[in-house]
Amino acid sequence: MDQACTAELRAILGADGLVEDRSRRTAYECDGLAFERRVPELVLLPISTEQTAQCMRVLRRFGVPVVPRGAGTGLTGGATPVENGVVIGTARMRRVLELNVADHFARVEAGLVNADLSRACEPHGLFYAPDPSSQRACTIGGNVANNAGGPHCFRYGNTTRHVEGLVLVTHDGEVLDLSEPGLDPLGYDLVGLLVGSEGMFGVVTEVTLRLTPSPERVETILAIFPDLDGACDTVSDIIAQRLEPSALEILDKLTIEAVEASVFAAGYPAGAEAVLLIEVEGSDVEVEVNANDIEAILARRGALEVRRAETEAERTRLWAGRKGAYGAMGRIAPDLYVTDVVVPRTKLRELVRRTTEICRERGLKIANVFHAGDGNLHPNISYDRRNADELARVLEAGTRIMEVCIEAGGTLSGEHGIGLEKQEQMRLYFSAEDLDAMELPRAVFDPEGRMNPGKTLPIRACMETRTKPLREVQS
Amino acid sequence: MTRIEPLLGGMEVAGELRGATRSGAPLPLVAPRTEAALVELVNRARTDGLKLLPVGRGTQLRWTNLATDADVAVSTRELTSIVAHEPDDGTITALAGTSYGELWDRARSGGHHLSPELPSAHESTLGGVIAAGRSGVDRLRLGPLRNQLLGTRALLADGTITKSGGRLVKNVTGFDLHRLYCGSQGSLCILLEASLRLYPAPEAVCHLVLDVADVGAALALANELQATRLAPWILAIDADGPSGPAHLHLELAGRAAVVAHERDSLPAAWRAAQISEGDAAASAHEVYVESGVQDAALVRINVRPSRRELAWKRCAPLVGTGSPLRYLRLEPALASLELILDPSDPQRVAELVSKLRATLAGTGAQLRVCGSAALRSRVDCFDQVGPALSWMRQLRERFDPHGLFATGRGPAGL
Repeated sequence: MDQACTAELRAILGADGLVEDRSRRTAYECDGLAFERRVPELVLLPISTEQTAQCMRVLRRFGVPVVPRGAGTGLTGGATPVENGVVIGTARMRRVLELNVADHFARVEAGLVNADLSRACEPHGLFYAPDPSSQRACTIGGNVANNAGGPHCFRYGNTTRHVEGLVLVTHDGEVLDLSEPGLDPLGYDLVGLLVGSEGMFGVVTEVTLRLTPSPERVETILAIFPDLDGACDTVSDIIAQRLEPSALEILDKLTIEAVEASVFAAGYPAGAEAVLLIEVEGSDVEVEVNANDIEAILARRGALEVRRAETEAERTRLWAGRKGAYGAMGRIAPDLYVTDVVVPRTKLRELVRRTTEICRERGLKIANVFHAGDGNLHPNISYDRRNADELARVLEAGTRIMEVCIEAGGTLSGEHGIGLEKQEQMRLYFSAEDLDAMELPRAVFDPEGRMNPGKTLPIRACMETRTKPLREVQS
Repeated sequence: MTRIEPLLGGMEVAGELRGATRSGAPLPLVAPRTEAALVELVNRARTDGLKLLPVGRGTQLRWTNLATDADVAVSTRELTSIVAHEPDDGTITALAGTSYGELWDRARSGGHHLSPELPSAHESTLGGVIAAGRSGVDRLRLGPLRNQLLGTRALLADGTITKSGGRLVKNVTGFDLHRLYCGSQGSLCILLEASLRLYPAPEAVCHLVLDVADVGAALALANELQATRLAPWILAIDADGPSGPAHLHLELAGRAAVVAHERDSLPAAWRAAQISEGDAAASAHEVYVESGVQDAALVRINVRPSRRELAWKRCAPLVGTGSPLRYLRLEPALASLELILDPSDPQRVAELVSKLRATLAGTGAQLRVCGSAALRSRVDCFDQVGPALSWMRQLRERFDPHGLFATGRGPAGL
């Protein structure tokens, strides 16, 4: 890193806002995609949009690549540092700037933790709907970058449906203020384009989010199944019957065992082959009619046991088990490769079986915990990154899972994004012309190719050189 | 006509498109029967330096500015087919020229509701609806059109066909270019195909109309209703003017037991309402949906809900007796006010628009105008965009570097 550049950044950020020490920088060497690591040249922790803009102007003058980062909970390497690049973290921008109860929106800084927003709204009878499993750590800015989801996105939709505005610091330090919420975009929907752009169009520093009225009543139902097929078929039936629960989540046997042996133990029965966690919400009458219809389907599909959470504490515990599943799997192996694919909801059983086969064929241990209602599968493969052969098999299985899902009409990601992990597989889903079209807005927002380079879009001849494809790095 | 003959390559001129350009001259309209023919047309036009004005059936033109430069209108109305309807997956995909009404009927046959629900649906095309970014009367419950759009295939100005998004209800793969195309008024691409998500059709509908003294009284009742947890499909006030009698429309829809319970739990004032259920509710609903603009001029004002009363107070004096107002529709929960105006004197409407813009300054209100070419030649259909405009212009230049698509239909000349 150019010493003059560092000095200018230090002058802007102060000692607290610039991480220069290598041992401290190491904490930023990866996100949740732990096998791809690189220590950044510097870590910048601005406290405001204006400070971010000042830094971006300096970085532009020195031609330094930039990787925006929230809490680093992403699972696809979207926040992995790049060669000769810096990381801009939003950890010191975590204020709720405006909580507008009358108009049901909040204006927040990008570093605000997802769960903290719902906590701030709760006294006003509102909540923020997208609820990734990492919501107690992940930031709103990271959610925006990846268009994050979560169990309740079955009813409420991914992040993009809840973002009403944002402030973007562009590659050259301009502050593009799109924060005023409006019923419709005036002109092009820039906000819609920017959500899910994985930090490649600038640094989002503030976000205006739609808040949702808290439901009158919530009912959580746990159904135990003798096999995974039965749980999958039940979900397909619920959707085919036009019922609308707010969440439909499946956990398989290995996941249940890991959860029950961990601090997240939720009371899922030992020995169950699969559990289906269903949430129904609305008015008393709405909850009752929907829950009754769903319970009839559960009985018809051979659920061994169906029970409703009787207390708020029990409900919280059931969800803690679901949301703590990834953490609990640390007991199975030191590393976890979390796949994220979406399949048509009519093909859940078929694709869950196929993904399991793919892992078993390669001698890998797979656990399934997924947003069944959206067809959003998360085959989780346990492994030890120190075992090169096992890691190679994991990556091969991941690729094959993506291939079979796309062949079945599915897609590469439902909520985690593409990052480094899936950029090569983008070619399976998109044609060269499709990818060329995605370069068009990128050329507008990042004409110098310094914003999170080497992510999302696959490397093509003479177009991208900073980061090698993940699977090439591993081989 | 001579200049465009080589462009057509033997393709027939299907007619003329009127009321689309500033010059007032009708445009020759061509409607290729295949995507390949459309691609060929685009490639020839680019080579010949001609400007194309993409349309469906032209029903959304009334919501856009007049184009400043166009040589040929190119319609996708011959590209019609429902490509995939997956009732058990809750999605539908169709070519852009497919009648929006046909799509709506197909969704209904599978037990689904297609959003947005729009007036004159059978006269509109899917592509036109998306390019115009029109949301429907179901917006209060289901949100805007952009939330329903799962993906598109689009023909870009360089002649390539590209995909964005897909046909799945959840998908974050790649940049959401389809969000950019939605509402772009045909200035970035020609839409070829789109996928929309479907919602369960309501099991039961109950449409209530309550006559009240005036808009103020209607607003008070609407406020009372909004303080409850009721989630209606429609909550709207119709009135002939700011001071006369008003009608409060309330539509409950969903599971039959829920609708019955909601109806029985309404505040006491609603006991005087006319209640339509079953087939009568369907008829009342249709009348409500279709009582749209047709040949009228329309001004839509959107503002934050907390500024609704302020905006209303400022607008009311301008739309009283002697104004061109025919009637107004106010959706209090969305803070959206529609003024349906007599179109016979466009100059008078234009003056009203100008006064409304002036009086609403500083309220954060957005104002949109819909009407005849005569009106649109006098007013800007959109408000000023602000600092984001330069980014929009850069996007436009990237997507259409040779200026193939007609300019000026969107805000600020986009």
